[in-house]
Amino acid sequence: MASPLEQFEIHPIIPLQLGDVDVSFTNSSLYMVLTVVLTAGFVLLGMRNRALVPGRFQCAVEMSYEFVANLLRDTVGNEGRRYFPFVFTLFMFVLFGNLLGMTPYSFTITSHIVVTFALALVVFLGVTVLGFVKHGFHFFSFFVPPGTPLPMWPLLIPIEIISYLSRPISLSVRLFANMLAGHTLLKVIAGFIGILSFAGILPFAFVVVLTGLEILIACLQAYVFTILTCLYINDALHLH
Amino acid sequence: MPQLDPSVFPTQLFWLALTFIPLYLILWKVALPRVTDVRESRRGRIESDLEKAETLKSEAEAALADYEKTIAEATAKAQDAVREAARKMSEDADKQREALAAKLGEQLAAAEQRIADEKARAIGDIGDIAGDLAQAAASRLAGGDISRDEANAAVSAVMQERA
Repeated sequence: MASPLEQFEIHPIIPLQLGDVDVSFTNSSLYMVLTVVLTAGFVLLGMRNRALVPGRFQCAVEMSYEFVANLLRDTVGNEGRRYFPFVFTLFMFVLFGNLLGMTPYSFTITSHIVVTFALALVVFLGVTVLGFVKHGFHFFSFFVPPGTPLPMWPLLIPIEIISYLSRPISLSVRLFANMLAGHTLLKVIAGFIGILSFAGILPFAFVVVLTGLEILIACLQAYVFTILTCLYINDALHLH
Repeated sequence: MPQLDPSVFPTQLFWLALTFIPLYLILWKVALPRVTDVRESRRGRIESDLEKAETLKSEAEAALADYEKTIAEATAKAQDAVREAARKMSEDADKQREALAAKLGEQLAAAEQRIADEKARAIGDIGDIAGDLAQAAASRLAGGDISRDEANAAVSAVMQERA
């Protein structure tokens, strides 16, 4: 039986070399391209009629738009509008990446820590730069929670800095670990179906249920990734 | 675990950048403005429709008020006309009654006058008849002949006494 981790392996499809670096077009790249095509296609095709009274497809696009817009408005407020395109892109990319990974025999781009970490790092760096641009050196006051007595500062400031620096890690590991665990579990349980012959109906039923749960998690983790990004933007804009 | 193999990091990062950035640009510059436009125009349309509805409503209300005013005016006019007619009729009736009363009064007065005349004439005649009677009675009873004037004087003296 194949290892449950085999599904995460990366195979080059078109070998490519950029200088000394291997940038082959791999199965992962293929699913990234698919994610982009699906996301862009979803929005562009959905809006092709630009109907005043939307049909089903356009309604779905507008609902996702409204969902992210409300998320951003509720956490950041109206100043958050500027970051809407980025937040929306992030949400749709993670959501479609996760959901695409739920297709049998497919590859889940978000099951690789390097991908989720890169996304989280973009968010982290962007938010940090935003904080400095907005507040200058006053941004450092973010590491001192308001109302902290002076004697507590030497203790609290390192804690705050560590918790701030661990944001990209927690953000990326949360998504990566969820995808990894879910897909591994599905594979492991699916492995029992063949082994158990007739009793295999039980793991099969479990896999069906678990697939539903995984689809839920795929959406939920995209949501969590997005709302945390919104919260970080809010922190950078308003400090506390 | 394939995720921890650093040899596949560069290709993933490269392709992540090569896919995510174009997606961001497409959504930012092309796709999302369309959604925004549609939603804006929808909101504009809804607002203008609401405004129009508001205008129509106030127009309808104005028309209704106009109508009610016209009705009230017409009612008032009609009532005035009825009142005027009633007044005129009662006036006419009064006039006719007065005229009738005046005419009746005149006739009554004329009748009374006639009665009075008749009475005076009758009384005058009574004097004459009484004079004749007195003269005839005197000549018959007393055998004496009294003149007509004497008889009349005696009669009128008695009548004056009894009047």
